[in-house]
Amino acid sequence: MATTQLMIQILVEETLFVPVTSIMGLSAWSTMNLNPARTTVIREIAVEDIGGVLGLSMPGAVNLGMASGALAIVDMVGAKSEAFLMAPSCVPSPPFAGMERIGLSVNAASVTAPAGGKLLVQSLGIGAHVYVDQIS
Amino acid sequence: MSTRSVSSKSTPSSASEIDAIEIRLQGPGATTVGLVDGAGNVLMTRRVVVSGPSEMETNFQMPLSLATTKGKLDAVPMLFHQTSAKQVVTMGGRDPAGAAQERQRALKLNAAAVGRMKAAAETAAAQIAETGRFKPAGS
Repeated sequence: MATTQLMIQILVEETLFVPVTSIMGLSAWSTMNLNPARTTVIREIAVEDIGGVLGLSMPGAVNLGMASGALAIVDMVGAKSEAFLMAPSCVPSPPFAGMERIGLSVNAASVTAPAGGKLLVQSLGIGAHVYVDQIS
Repeated sequence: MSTRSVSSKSTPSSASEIDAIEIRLQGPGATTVGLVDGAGNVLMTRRVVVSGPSEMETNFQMPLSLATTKGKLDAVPMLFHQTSAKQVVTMGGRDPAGAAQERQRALKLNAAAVGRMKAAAETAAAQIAETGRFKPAGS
């Protein structure tokens, strides 16, 4: 039983150098081709985030800290089927037949301060990976 | 240049109203894109690192403006640095230099502003190549 091991890994880091009132959500997605003649097993999906946002001068005089948080999703498409999996997952998925393409997306929510408030954020980062086995 | 969420307001009230451009990376590598204003200030950077097979493709969004405490700041996305010469980068379906010129024209920037932006991008590229990171002077 021959196995080909594949990987997609994404890291997105944002660094801001001015005070802001709104941050567009971080997101990225990568795709690669699979061999549809082989059975596909997703061996692992992981997601990480770093940094956060501190809301200052908020109405009510309460400062608010938030972790950025991140969501990673794997989706695969084939001629006859598709599959959708979410991180974290550190055990092999069920086998999928006929998959032609795989995508990994990683997303963090956007943040907007209420009127009069501002956001203190210097650096945010999100990352994800997926390990794929293609078995003949 | 393809953008999304076009807003007519001078100050965006939420992140969904910020215009953005889609950036596509063909192949693995580490890529840094910066947002530069007409005064040559780097407002933000996004660094995207991707690993995988050579035929992989990656997409992400880069804002075209920032909602700041002083209002909306329009800026130009500029490619600062790439670790892989084989990686192909397009912004809004165009080469990065062409996309930056189109954005500069849309903002009606004069030659002096364009020169300041170019100098800022070159300084950032040199710093990233040397240290792996960008840190604006004085920060």
